[in-house]
Amino acid sequence: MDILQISGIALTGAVLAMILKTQKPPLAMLLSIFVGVTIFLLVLTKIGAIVDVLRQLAGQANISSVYLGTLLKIIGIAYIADFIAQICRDADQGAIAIKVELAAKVLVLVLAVPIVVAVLQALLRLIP
Amino acid sequence: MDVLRQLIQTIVVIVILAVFLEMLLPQGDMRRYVKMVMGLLIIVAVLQSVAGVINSDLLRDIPDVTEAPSGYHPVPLEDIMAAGQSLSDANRQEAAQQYGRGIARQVMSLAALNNDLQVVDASVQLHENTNEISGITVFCSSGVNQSPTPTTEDNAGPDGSGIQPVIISTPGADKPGGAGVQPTATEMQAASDIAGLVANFYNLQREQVHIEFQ
Repeated sequence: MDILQISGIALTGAVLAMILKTQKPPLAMLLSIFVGVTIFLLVLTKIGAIVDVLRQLAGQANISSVYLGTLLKIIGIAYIADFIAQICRDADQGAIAIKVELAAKVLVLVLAVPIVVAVLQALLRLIP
Repeated sequence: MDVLRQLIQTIVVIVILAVFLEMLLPQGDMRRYVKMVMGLLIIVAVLQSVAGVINSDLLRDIPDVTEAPSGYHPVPLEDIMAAGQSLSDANRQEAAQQYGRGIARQVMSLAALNNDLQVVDASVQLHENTNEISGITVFCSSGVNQSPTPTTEDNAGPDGSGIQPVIISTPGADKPGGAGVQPTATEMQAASDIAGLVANFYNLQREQVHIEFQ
């Protein structure tokens, strides 16, 4: 049961971080980062199954794998940026967290530009 | 009806895929952005499906969101362009060869009008780019028509029996080594006439028409 492992790691990390926070706050922050990364890596191995299902669905709808890849990249960017921004906020670095989120938004928009242009051209061609 | 069924099926699968992907989205501020991109993708897919149904070129500049259903492997554009260029070159070369052969036949027919010289072959040189005639070479057989064509008056042989003597000779046999061909003055005149005729007919310079004796 993976959820039990993850819950155990998270609970242990939380208790340890709470104890450490009173005596050594930097270590508490490092511990929380370590726990977060560990949980992320544990879940990462399971994401392959979800991606396979998505690919099957996309194949059923005859959607090009290029577009599905773009979409998955965007989701990945969003997750990583959210994760890092949360860690930065935990470390009381709200400014850096905002910058990370800004960078992620820019990257998402850059990936979306070809699709936006395609839709715009199609809509303009609809107008007589 | 099948087209409509296919369209609806595709859209349903796309929407299910979008909902499934939405479940994966993070909870933070990034969610709105990813949802926007997903919505755009759905719009493109639906537009492409509709354009396919009405056979419109609505999405002619849009890279295909959907791909061919079975066993289709897209070929790179560079390969297609190279293959088209190669095919075009081959066709142009073949057309030039046929044109050259046709001109050579015409030249042989023109040269055959002159009875003093027997034309064996003709070749036409064409410019590589413009395919204009750059030169014509006419191959003649020397020594074939050295004796004048017998007329009805002198059909009789020397002995008056009506049988002409048969003379067997090979070109250049009278030369040392037997390699060279020396045309007679009549043949040279006939060759000059043929060259002038061909040059005039094809609007060429006289120097562009060559007569070679074999």
